[in-house]
Amino acid sequence: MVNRIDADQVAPPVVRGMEAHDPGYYEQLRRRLRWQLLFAYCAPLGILALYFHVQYSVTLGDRIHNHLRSLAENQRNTADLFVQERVANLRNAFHPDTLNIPPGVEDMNRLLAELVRSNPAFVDLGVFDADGNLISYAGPYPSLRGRDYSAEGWYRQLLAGTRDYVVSDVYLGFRGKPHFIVAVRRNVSERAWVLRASLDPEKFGEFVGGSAILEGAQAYIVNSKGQSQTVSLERHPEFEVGPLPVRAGTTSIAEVGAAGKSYLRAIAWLTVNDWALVVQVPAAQAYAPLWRARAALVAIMVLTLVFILWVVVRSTRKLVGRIEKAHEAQRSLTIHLFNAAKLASVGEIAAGVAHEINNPLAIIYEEASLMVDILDPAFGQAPDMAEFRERLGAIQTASLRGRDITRKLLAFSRHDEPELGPVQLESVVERVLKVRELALSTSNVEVRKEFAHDLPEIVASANQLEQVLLNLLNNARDAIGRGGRITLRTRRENGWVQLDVEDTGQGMTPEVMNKVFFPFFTTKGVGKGTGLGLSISYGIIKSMGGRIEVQSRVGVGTTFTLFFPLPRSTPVSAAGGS
Amino acid sequence: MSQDRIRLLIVDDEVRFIETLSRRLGLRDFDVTAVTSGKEALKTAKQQHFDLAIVDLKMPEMSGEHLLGLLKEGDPRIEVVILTGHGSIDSAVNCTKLGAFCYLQKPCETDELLRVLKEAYRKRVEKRLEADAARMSEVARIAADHSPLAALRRLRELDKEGS
Repeated sequence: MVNRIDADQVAPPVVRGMEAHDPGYYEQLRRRLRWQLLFAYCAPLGILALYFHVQYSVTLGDRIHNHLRSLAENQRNTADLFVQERVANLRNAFHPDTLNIPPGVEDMNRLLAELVRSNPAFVDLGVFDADGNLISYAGPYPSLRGRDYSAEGWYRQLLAGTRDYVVSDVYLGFRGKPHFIVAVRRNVSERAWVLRASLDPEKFGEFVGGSAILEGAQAYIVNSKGQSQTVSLERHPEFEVGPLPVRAGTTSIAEVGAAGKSYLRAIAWLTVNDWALVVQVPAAQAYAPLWRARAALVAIMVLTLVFILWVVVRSTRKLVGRIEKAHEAQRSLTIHLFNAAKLASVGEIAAGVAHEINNPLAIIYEEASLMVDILDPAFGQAPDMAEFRERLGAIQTASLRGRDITRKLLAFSRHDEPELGPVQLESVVERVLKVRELALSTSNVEVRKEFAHDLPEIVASANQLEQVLLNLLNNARDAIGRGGRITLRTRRENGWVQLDVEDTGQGMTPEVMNKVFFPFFTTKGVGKGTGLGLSISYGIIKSMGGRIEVQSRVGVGTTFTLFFPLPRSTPVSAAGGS
Repeated sequence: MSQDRIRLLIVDDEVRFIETLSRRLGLRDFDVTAVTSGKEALKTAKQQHFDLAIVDLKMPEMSGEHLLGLLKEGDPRIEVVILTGHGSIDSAVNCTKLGAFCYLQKPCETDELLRVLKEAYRKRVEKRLEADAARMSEVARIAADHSPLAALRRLRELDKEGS
C-alpha cells in the first residue's frame, strides 16, 4: 500500500521558523490586531453607553413631558378659574337686590368700574332685553347702545341653552375690535334679561401666558378650530395649532414643527368653554437637559475612545514589535540550526571529498616519480621530452581536478544568509549530483534524470536548495543500500514546479513517515545521521513558499516531491512535459 | 618474461594511475598486469597466477573489498595489498579480516609501497615453503605408512591440492 503525506500535516511548528515575513505582514498584523482590540474594547462600551443613553432619554423624556403636562393642566385650571370668576362677577353684579333692572347709566358705570377694579380685562358692560336690544351700556363704545343682538350666536345660545351663562370665542363684532364676551341671563318679573361684559383677549392672554411657568414656554388659549384666543397669530406664527383633535379628557403632548422650528406642545382642554390651553416650548429648550446629557455622554465617549485608541495603538505596536523580534529570533535560531545541520552534512561528505583528492594526488605522485625514475641512470631509461611533456600535462590535469574537488566542498560549506533569487532547478540538481556522483556510483546507485524542458526559473536560495537535495540524495542512497536507482524528475503541474526524488530503497512505514520531519528523528545508526536533514529541508522549502509531499511503500521505495510556486510573471496555464 | 620476477596484478579504475604505476614497478623487476575493474581482474586471475595484487577499494560495479574476497577464494596464497584514496578504519579492519596483507592510502611513497610488496612476496614465499615442507613430510609419511599403490594414489591427490 502506498502511503502519502503532506509535510504540512506532520511537521512540528519549530521547523517552520525559516519562513521570513516581509514588513507588510507585520503592518497587516498590526492593523488587524488594532481593529480587533478596538472592537473588543469599544463594542461593549458602545452597547452599554447606547443602552444607558436610551434608558436615560426615555426617563428624562417622560419627566419633561410630565412636567409640561402638569404645567399645562395648572395653566388650564388657572384659565378655567379666570373665566369662572368672570362669570361669577357678572352673576353677583346682575342681581335685582343690588341692581335696578334695567339699570340706569350711573348704575352701569359704577358696576363697570367695580368689575374693572376686580379685573382689568373687563372692557365694557351691557344689558340686553329679551329681544336682544342693548338697552344699557357702559364702556368705550357708546354707539353700540340700541343695537339689536338677537341674531348674534352667543345671544341665541344663551337664550336657548340650559346654562345661564355663555362665553364666546374671540370675534370682532360691531365694534370691529377683537374681544370675547361673558354673558349671564337672569329672569326678572317673568322677563329674561342678559348682562354681557366684553373682555380684552390680550389681558386674558397676559394672565394665562404671563405667569412665569417655564423658561421660554408660551401658554395661550385656542378654540376647537385651533384659532388663537389670546395672541395674534400674525405676530406669532409659531402659535398656529390647526384644528384640534376630538376633545379628550387627558392632556396630550406632541412634538411639532412650526415656523421652521421644533416645539414640544401640550394641549389641555378647559371645562368652561370649548377651548384648550396650549403650552408650547421650543424643543431645544425642553430637551436641553437631555441634550446636555447626550453631549456629556458623547464627550465622555470620545475621550474614552481617544484613550482606548492610544492604548490600543501603543499596545499593538509593542506586541507586534515583540512578535517581530520573536520571529526574527526564531528565524535566526533556525538559520543557525540550518548551518549546524549543514556543517554536519559537510562533515559527512568531507571524508568522501577528501578521499577524492587523494586520487589526483596519487596520479601526480606517480607521474613525478616515473619521471624521476627515467632520469635515474640506474634504470637505464632514455629521457624523452615529448613523454615528459605529456606526463607534466597529466600532472596539471590532476592538480586541476583536485582544485575542483576542494572548490565544491568550500562552496557547499559556505555560511550564507539565505537569499531568494531566480534559480534554475535543473542546474542545482546537476551541481549536487556532481558532489555525490562518486559516492552514488560506488554504491552501485544508478541515477536517472527525467527533466522537463522549458521549466521556468523558481524563486529560491540556491545554496539552501543544494542542502535540501543533498539531504534527499543521501537519504535515498542510505535507503537503497547497495544497488538500486534514484530517479530525479522535474515537471510543471497544477501551478507548481515539482521535483521528485524517487528511490528504490526499503520504503517507510506510516509510523516512520509521520515522524520524518521531526528534528533529531533518524532511522540511521548512531553517528550516521543527525536527524536534522528533513526537518531543516522542510523549513527551507517552506521559506521558499513551497511544500513537500512524501509517498512511500515498504520494500518498494520512497518518493519525496518538492513543490515550488511558479514565479508571479509565469503564465499558470502552460503545461510541462518530460 | 623471467620466471623470478614477481607477478603483480594491479586493479584500479584510474587508468592514468595504473599505467604509471605499472611502468614504475616494471622498472623494479615486477611482472605487472594492470586492469581497471574487478570483473577484468577475476578474468585475468583465472588465466594466470599472480603472486601479489594491488587493489583499489572504490570502483564502480565491484568494490575492492568484494574483489579481495573473490581473489582470496580463487587463490588463497595470493597476497593482496589495498591501495585506496578512501581509507577508513572500518574498511581497513574489514579488509584485514578478508585476508588483505596490507592497507595503504594513496598517494603512497614508492619506498613504502616497495617495502610492503616485498614483505608480501616474502610472506607468499614463506607460505609456499611451509606448504612444500608440509608436503614433503606428508610424502614421507605416506611412503612409510601406505602400500605402494595406495601411496601413489595419495601422492596424486597431494599434487592436485598443491597446484
